[in-house]
Amino acid sequence: VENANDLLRRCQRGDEEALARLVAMYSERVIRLARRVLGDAGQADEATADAFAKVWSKARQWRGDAEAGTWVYRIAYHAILDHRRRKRWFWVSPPADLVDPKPGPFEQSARSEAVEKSRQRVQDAITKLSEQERALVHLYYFDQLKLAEIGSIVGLTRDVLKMRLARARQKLREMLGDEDLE
Amino acid sequence: MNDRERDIDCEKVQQRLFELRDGTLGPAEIERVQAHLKACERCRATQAWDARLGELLREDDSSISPAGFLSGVRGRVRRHQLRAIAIRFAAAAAILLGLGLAQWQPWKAAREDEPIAKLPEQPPASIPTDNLLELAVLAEPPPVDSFEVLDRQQRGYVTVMRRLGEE
Repeated sequence: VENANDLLRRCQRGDEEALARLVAMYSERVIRLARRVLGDAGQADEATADAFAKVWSKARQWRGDAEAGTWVYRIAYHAILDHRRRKRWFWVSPPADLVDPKPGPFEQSARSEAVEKSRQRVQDAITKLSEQERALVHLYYFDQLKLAEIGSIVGLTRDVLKMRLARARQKLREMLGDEDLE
Repeated sequence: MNDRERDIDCEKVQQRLFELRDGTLGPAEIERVQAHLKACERCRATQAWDARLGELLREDDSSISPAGFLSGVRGRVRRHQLRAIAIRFAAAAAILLGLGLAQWQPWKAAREDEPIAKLPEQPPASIPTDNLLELAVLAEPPPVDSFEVLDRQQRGYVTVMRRLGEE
């Protein structure tokens, strides 16, 4: 089994095959984060490609103080936010609907209507959060990462992170209502 | 416990819920949070809401196929490499240009060309006519620096000598 740390070390030596393996290992997670934050599948793909190009160009800066996976995610998180800022610089795009990769008709019919409705409400509510809050919600609730890892990715201390997560949750609850999510 | 105290406590507990899931709370703190949860319906609801939100988000079963995605990454890496090479070339060219300018120093050469002071004009040499010795010196042919001139001069002497002989 290939270890991400080894792959990143090989990237530091200019091994493109190692980069390809890192892409295979992490691209899906990064794309999902990018889609959550950017709300557009096309932009998310671009941002993810930018992110891995940055992983390649900055590989030498990795000193092994964080796990390779966390480091890759940190680079990706910043690349995604940079992508958003760059796009905003060029043109003001209408508020994006969170793609939350839409399920096909077959998948949709397989799900209960209530669950689908709840999911859609949650997605709509997440769209109204700030980009950082969207990322925090995704990393905590979707990826189920530990607070220490999330803090390392987004560059926040544990206490600030807890406050921001609590604030994001509070906003979502206000938007979605206090009743249980079906 | 009044409402305000309870709210503060709830706020703390609701932040502790993140750590409770993390498993990073100490045993004493876990006990305190659990005791609060038992007594507080609102915090229990938040805990349940948290869990449900996570489930809903993770139910996202849409497929993401990063298959053709690697070529995009490779394209960007190539562009990055080319840019790095271009930057190195530009830096080397700038260094060479700097060194060349430092060696050539055109600004210094321009200053050297400027006359520091005008030389005074030499007064025309007066020809002494009363001294015969000096006149003899002046009668000597001027130094020649061309073979053609020398040749013509020699032919002139020969012609003069012939005419003198004829006379």
